[in-house]
Amino acid sequence: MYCYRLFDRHIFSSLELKLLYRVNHDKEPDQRDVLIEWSSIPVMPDGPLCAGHKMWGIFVLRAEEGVWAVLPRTGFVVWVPKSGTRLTVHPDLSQMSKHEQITRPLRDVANSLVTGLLSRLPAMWGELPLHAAMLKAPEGYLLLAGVSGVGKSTLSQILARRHGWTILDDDSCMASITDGELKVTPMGGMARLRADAADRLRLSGTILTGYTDGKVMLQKETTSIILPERTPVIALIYLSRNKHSSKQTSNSYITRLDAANAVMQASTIAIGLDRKSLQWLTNRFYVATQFGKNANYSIIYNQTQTPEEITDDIEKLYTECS
Amino acid sequence: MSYKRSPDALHAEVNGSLILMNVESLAYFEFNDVAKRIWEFLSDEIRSQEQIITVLIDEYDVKPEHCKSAVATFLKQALEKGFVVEA
Repeated sequence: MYCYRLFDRHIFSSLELKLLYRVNHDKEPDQRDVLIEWSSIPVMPDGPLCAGHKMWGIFVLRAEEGVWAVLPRTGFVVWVPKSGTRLTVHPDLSQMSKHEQITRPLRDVANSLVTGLLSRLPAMWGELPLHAAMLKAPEGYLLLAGVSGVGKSTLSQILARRHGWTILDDDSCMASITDGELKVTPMGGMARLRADAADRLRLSGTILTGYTDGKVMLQKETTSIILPERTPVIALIYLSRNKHSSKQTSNSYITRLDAANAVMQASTIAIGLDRKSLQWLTNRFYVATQFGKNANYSIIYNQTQTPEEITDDIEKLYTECS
Repeated sequence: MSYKRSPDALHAEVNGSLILMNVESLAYFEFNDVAKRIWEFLSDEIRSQEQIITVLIDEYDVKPEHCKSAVATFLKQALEKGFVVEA
């Protein structure tokens, strides 16, 4: 069995999950840990669609005792029980005719599992998964949020290189409220960069299959589990690209969000498996209100700006709120 | 007419502001000081429109006709957004 870190738990799988940090762990999984079982029995999942979009690479169907996560790009479906701890990966019967053979490279399935499903799994544990990179800076955690391709990984790499900050995760983290305080935990995924961004930063890594923009995985090293600490969140920064600006010299449009906008924005970066789940919606609201108490900024950058210029803006905001 | 808080409404205080969300409509709302006072007054009780107006006139320097009009507007919006329900 391979053992990895997944947020503040361990995850066990008989197949490799290359996008997660492997840990040395010789114990049997306990009830809290996540166990992935790989089944050869094809199934046809059934239930109402409760989340999903073709861009996500995942569709989620609600069943009585859990949810089915359909990974259409790979032709596999995953049964996720309500506990969110015993996952079974099946070949998808509805996709079988589309494949020459059912044994597609399991590497693709495993990668797709990590990015599509496992990052959302805390929603089943009663926690709130967030689509945001997480860095540890001297004054506390800095979160960079935004849609895929906005630059979370690239900007994280530049910030880490300039200041020695630690990239705890460049894509996903989990938020919860413990004793009335906001706690954020990184997912534990490998750093991934678009190939052009890796070239620009003179970084190299393994090319990942299944990504249309040619992502590369930057590191492959064994690391020990990073336990959550009582570290404050210094700022949450929402990144977006202004696709309509034609000015060559314009700067970023930076705003500090008021409480109501901060709460609404924090809600938009929350990801889940059943987006109508009352538990998830309630968690989302209360965690978002905790974020609303911190410094929240929006950076809308111009597409002519370099990553280094946007990083300068982030540094100024960090200085302002620390 | 009497009103109470909607069971679908979540609320939390954020840096002095009262933020609400309706879990059915997913609508967000930020209450001002007077709206916060009405929300607090509703608490877990059913309150009539007249009771709300009486409390506000008692606590705020406001003319009764202005207060009635403001309370009616607030209740209409809060009903539409699903933060209060008729009882």
